[in-house]
Amino acid sequence: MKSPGSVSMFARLRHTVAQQLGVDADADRGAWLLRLVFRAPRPGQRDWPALWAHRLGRHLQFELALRDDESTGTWFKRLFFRPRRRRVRLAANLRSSRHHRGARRRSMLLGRIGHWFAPVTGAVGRAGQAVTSRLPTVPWAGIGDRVNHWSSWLDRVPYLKQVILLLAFMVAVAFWTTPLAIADQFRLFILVCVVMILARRIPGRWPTMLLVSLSILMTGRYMWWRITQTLNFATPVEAFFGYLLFAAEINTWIVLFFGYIQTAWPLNRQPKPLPDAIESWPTVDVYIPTYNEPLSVVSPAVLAAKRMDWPAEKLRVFLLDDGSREEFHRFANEVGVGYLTREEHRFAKAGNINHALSLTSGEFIAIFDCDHIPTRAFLQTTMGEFLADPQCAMVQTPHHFFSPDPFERNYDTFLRIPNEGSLFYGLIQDGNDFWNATFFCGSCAVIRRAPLMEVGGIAVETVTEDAHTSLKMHRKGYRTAYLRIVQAAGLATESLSGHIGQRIRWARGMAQIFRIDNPWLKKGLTFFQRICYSNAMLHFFYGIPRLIFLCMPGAYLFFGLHVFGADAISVMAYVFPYLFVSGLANSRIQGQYRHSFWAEVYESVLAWYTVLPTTIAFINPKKGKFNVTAKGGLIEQEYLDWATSKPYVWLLALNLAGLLAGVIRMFTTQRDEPATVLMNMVWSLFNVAMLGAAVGVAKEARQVRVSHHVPLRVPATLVLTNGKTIACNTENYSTGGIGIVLPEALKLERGDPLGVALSRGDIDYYFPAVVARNSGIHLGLKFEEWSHEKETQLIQCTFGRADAWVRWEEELVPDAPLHSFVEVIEMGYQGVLRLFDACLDATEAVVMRRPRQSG
Amino acid sequence: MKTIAIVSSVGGAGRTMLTAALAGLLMARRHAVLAVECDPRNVLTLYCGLRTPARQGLVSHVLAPTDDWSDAALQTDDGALWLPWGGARGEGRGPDAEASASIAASLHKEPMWLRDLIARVDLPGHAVALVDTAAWPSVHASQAIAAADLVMVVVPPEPLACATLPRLKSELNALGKQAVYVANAVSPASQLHTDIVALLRDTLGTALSTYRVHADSGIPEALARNESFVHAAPHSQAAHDMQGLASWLSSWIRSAYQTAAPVSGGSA
Repeated sequence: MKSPGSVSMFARLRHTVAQQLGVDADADRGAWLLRLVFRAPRPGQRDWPALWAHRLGRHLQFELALRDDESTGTWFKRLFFRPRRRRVRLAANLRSSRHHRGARRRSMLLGRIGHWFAPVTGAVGRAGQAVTSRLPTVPWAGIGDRVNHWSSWLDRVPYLKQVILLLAFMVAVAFWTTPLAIADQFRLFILVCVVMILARRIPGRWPTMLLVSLSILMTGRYMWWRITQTLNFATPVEAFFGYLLFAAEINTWIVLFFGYIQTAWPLNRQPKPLPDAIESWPTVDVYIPTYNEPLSVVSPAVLAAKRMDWPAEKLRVFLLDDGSREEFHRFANEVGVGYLTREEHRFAKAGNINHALSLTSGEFIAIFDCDHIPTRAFLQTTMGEFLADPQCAMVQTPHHFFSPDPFERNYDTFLRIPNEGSLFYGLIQDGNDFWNATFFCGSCAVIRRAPLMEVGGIAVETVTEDAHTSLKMHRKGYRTAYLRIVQAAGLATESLSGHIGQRIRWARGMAQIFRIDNPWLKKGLTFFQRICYSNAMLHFFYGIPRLIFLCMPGAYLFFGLHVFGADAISVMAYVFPYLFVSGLANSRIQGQYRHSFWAEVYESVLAWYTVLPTTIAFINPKKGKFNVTAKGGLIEQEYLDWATSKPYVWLLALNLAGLLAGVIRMFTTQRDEPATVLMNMVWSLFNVAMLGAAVGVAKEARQVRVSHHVPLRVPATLVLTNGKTIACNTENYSTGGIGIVLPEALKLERGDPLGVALSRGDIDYYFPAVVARNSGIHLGLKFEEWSHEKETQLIQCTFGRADAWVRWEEELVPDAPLHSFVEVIEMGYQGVLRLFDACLDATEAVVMRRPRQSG
Repeated sequence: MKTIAIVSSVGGAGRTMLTAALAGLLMARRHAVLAVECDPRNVLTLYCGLRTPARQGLVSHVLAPTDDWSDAALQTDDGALWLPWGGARGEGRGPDAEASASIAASLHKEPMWLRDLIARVDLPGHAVALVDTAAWPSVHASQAIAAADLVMVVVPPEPLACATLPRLKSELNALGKQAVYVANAVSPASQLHTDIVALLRDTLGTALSTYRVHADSGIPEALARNESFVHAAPHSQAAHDMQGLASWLSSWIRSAYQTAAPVSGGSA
């Protein structure tokens, strides 16, 4: 403790020094420091040193991220150590970036690059426009019409078709087998390209045929060259890998050719009118099989099915509950539908339906999955076909999903890029219909009872009972029809693992049919039906070829094996024309139902998982068990599904390591053949993009609310308590609640009562409700006095509307191959970034022992 | 010039409100609009911003046919012309009983008076005259119906309106007038309204417009504030309904100009 004398002594000294320096005795450290170096300003002058020191201090404080009252120690520490910051995520948030992309739906990458080159592209575009506006326009549509006219004229000449086909075959054989010098081969490629690029612009089916023919010519030429020129290997190991690759290629050729046949002429069938005499309309039983789904998922389907437009005494709805739940029994009684359950739960859904077949008596059976909500017009659209054609045994309509599947959700491609099912329901089934080979798809279909009973009910031998049943009916000589008119809609699978599980089941079932009931082996099918069925089955064997393609560049990059016995120039002269031409032809055929390169993404994701089930089912069809597709679920936090993505992470690592090995190889051992190294690296890079996309899909985006909130947009009227009305639109629907988008924000509190009116045609239905949430223009309402009657009314005004899904085809975006390529590469890039982020998250979680941050 | 009479068989159906709203909405659809009031209540101009009842108007022509009555029309900002009934005198008084009786008598004597008068108006383009009238049956309503190419019958979802409607309907049929029926002030919350609209659809068929105007408490509030309802509450359902109705009328007017023959249907 200091004595009072020393304190006063110190104070006096301090005072004296302060006077000498020209500071206040009780000023802070900064001021003292400043005055030690700078003299105090003369009176009337600005204190420049003090001002500058202050600014410098503020700047340092900002740079070091310090608060106002930090101690000197903290200041000192911050000079050397950065404060902990939250790690920046590398992967872009696609959902938020969509808004920046704007309405033009352009790719992010392309948009950004386009932005850099905007002055150049703008000038070039303007110049191009100026030139083209002076040139005469080509009447592409007129050419298409003329081609149609000629073809119908030629069609009338007898035997001409056969002669042309024979001649075409002879020309093709000559085309395939004529050897050409490399330079001439390149010239041929350029010629074919020019023809294709011109033909692409002509609308109609005959130009499509031209593209397909050219693709067949070029593919055949490639095949011939591949078989005769490239299967020479130096060592047995090279030969082994070489033939493996060759086998994988053979598979793709078969699928390519079968696919061309299958989709040669999509039938585009239109509904047939029903007779005016309602008495002649047949009786229909509607089956809604359920097993473990919650009632909230099932009830809309049941209520909508009950309200389909059909004579009431001729329409009976049955809920086939394999879970034997008391709640469902009560519900069925309350809403007045039949309830069927069974003691023994054999053969899952197929067994469930077969059991019901023995208990009901309708002439026709309409089958809906428990979450597929039919529109009121479903029966009136489909039944005309049966009455017009007594041999018609089944009418199938598309499965439409109003919620995004995992691909669409995790990459935000919903309504922007056609999903996996679009190709099947948009094109393949329509193509099958031309060959009378439409498959039954398990739901949204009507079957005639007699033929179904003739084949012993729904097939139980395989896990894809639907396709197998239609195969059996085709064998008996019955016809099936496909109407590409969406008349029912449902929920897509929620998570990637569920999605994969469903595809595994399909793959296994198709492999089972291929083994135990091969379409080529038994009598009764036409040649083209056999092709359609076997293509559907072969499609699911893509796993092994796809994996071979994903691994093969490693054979050269790691071990220097020449698996392809040709030099780089020849490969360019034969492989690229083949890939380019078939890519262009497929883009033309599949167009808006499957964008170019997306098949590779979808297949890459599923390849690993379908390999084992298909192989096992192929060896022993009895092995393996049935798994039910999980519907309904909630993803509360964003996460990377490591378990699902593990195989792809390994494959990705393999390809990335291959790239590294390629770089090393190029500068060390293989300096003599850089083109080969480079080509394998490009292949590897393409694989990285595909695998990146596959991994990226496994990053499950957060689903904000429970899954049964289904998106739905119909006009609605809000009636406020003060008597005012607001015209608005619904946003989504859930049991007992509805989401509304308002034209402008309203002052409403949680719990405020109001009413919402929806209309079905001319009739208004009124639903009293209370506000459940209100954020800006998004309003969540909860219905009061909720009852089955109210729910029925709501479904009639929403999902049950006949026009509920008529616009789905308008929403499809046509394919632009180059743009699609960029988009896929971008997805791959984002996927790799997501993987990197997830790795850092995982490392951080381990090192820091903290729970993972949610992004 | 096409003429649309807005009539109803009961009072308080919303005729004047609809006339005023449609005048603005049809102006916005590039029609030259003349809103005419053939109703001794003399209230139309209250909907276009005037604070006091009009002194000049149609009635000036009845009382003195030689007068230049064209001065009586008012014009609003959007370009619509408004021809009120007029006849107001100081201190809120209207014409006295005797004058009123003689006006009614002369209207009765010349059933085509309004028709001839409107025929003398020349407006450019696809012009339309909207005639607001007193409740039917009355001499005023008869004048409007006689003048009309299309009769828009406003039906409030009330039992009395349903009860009086068949008489009006058969009268219009007998005159061979094309008619469109519009349900006004329909509240979806009311079961009675829903049932009455269903009944109307049953009896009227396609003549009932699919645009039913919803009840909205903002409509009288807008009048009290001297505002146009459609502009004051553009997001309200009632405003949307009126927009739809105006679009339908607009296309009716255009097709009526194109084909001299009568156009089919009253449905939207």
